Amino acid sequence: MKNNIISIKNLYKIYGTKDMETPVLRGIDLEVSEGEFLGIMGKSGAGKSTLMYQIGLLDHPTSGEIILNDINTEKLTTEERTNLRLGMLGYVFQDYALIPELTASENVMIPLLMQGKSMTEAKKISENMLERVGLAHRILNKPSQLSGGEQQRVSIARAMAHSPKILFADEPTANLDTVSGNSIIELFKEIHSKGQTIVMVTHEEEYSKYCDRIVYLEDGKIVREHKQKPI
Amino acid sequence: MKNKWTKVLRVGWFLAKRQIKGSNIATTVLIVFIMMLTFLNLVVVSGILIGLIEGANRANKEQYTGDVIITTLSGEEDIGHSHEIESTIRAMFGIQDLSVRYLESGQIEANYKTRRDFDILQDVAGTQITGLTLADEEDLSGISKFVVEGEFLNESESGYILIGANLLYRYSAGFGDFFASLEGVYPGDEVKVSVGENTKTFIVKGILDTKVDQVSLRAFMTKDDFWRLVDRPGLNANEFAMRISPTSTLTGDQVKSNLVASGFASDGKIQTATEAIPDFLNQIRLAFGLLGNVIGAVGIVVASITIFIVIFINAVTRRKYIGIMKGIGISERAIEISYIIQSIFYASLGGLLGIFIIYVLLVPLFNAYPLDFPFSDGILVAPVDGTLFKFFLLLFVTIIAGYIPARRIVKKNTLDSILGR
Repeated sequence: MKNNIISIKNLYKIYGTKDMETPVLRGIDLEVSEGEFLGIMGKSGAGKSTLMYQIGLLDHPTSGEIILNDINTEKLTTEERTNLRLGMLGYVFQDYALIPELTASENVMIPLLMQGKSMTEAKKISENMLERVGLAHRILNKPSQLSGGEQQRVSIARAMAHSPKILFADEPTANLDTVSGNSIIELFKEIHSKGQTIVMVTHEEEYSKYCDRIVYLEDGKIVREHKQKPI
Repeated sequence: MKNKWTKVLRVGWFLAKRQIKGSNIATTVLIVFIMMLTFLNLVVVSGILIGLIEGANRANKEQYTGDVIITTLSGEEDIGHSHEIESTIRAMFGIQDLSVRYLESGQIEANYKTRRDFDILQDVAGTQITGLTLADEEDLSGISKFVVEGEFLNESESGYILIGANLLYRYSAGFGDFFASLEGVYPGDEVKVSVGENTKTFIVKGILDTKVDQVSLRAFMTKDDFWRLVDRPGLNANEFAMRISPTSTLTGDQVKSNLVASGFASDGKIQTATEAIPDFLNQIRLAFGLLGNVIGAVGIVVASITIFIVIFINAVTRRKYIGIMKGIGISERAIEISYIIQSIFYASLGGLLGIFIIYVLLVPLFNAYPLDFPFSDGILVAPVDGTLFKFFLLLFVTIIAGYIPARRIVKKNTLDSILGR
């Protein structure tokens, strides 16, 4: 029996003012085991990304409890949340979210430098990571010189460089063509096979097949979930 | 804690360096140019204003007082024990030049030969008749180079006079009726010079024009001619102007102290060149300094607003990336520091260029070609310590101006920044 690395209780996220409230998440309860590949699916506006942002500490929930790796995140200061993101979480965004003036290698290096790694060490790790995602020949290229698929690979390399406990991916294949999308999902599969916990938001049924478990959201609630044997 | 700040500074530096490298060259050049102009405004405006007065002081020292001057005490007719004073000064180690001057109030009358109508006022100007040992005065002040018409006096000739330009109408017309001035006097003309009851005719040898009133409002003749004209008991002098050798470590204050210690303070008024500066010039210097600082302060405000806008626009347009960096765990402080480093880069580069221009170009240029003002030849006064203070002041202000907009953007909600909400 694996430990729960994510534990969410009665999570609410309401946007707007008191006069006009827009509840996006309504009482989510969810647990994710260490090493699990969880898929979050649902129609547009169901609250998939919002849920991921709350779990990934990129946003503050209106109420509810989020426990990550036995740390209750409710009362963490801004600095503590930042440190937790740096030390424990990795993110892959739909639009890659690379820093345009930095090379592929430098994009991967920043969180490592922030962790206190030396320049040489960070460079070495970033080059290894880029090699792992098949971009050894692109380390000195800037994002504008890379294709969408390559940019997403850099984004994955950055997210994985500091060995996070949880990797969050928000529709990582949404902006990619089928070939690039497939290669990215294969990369996730490979990463997961080494024991990495992954939480992935996707609306593409084809890619959800790679997940251990899928939760379906509708109007801010988990309406069903099913476990599966991933491909 | 130390480790935390090291990481923050390292990442801040890393980001700033890449941002500067990746920024548009034309924009960077423009910002640096603005910072340079601001710095020049800060240093040069007040430097020129003070330089107008400093130019007057410098000219006063070079052409009149030397490093130390002894003048006649108020109420006295001359400097007592002049012979002993002269001997003491000449024996003083480190004194390079000494000019002993003899003064007497008198008047010069011109055009008396052509004056047919005795109802018309005489063409007369009051002045101080000054007797000189020409070689000594030449060594001290280089007086001959201020001769603008005619020639300098010659020790072997007698009956010649040099007239200060401000005693002549054609030079002093700009001063209105401030001086009684002579009309149509040129080298070779004959003038009557009267001191007390004595009157002698002299031929105008030349006209002296400088911006030091003590030179351009006086009439000069050889010491021998002076004593032929002036009828006063004793041979005491009225001014001792002395210059210290440039190779000597002696200061004006030390020379003054030595003379006071020798007991000459009761014979004459002993002043260093600085002390001899007229009080009104010091007042103007203070006022100009204040004015320069006010103009400089406006420049600093403009510079800080410039940096504020540059960093604000930069941070706003990069808000999404700031959000992403925060999202992946880069501390807010590191991001803010990257903007502060950018501000320091712009300000220090602009300031250093300004310093280069000031000391390599402007100061030598102003020294070679001073600004021509009625009362002085204006130079650029830019003392190194004052310039460095203004440099660091500019840096400090730009750090604040860079930090505030960066802080405003960085503290925004991370997710809102990432999603551009």
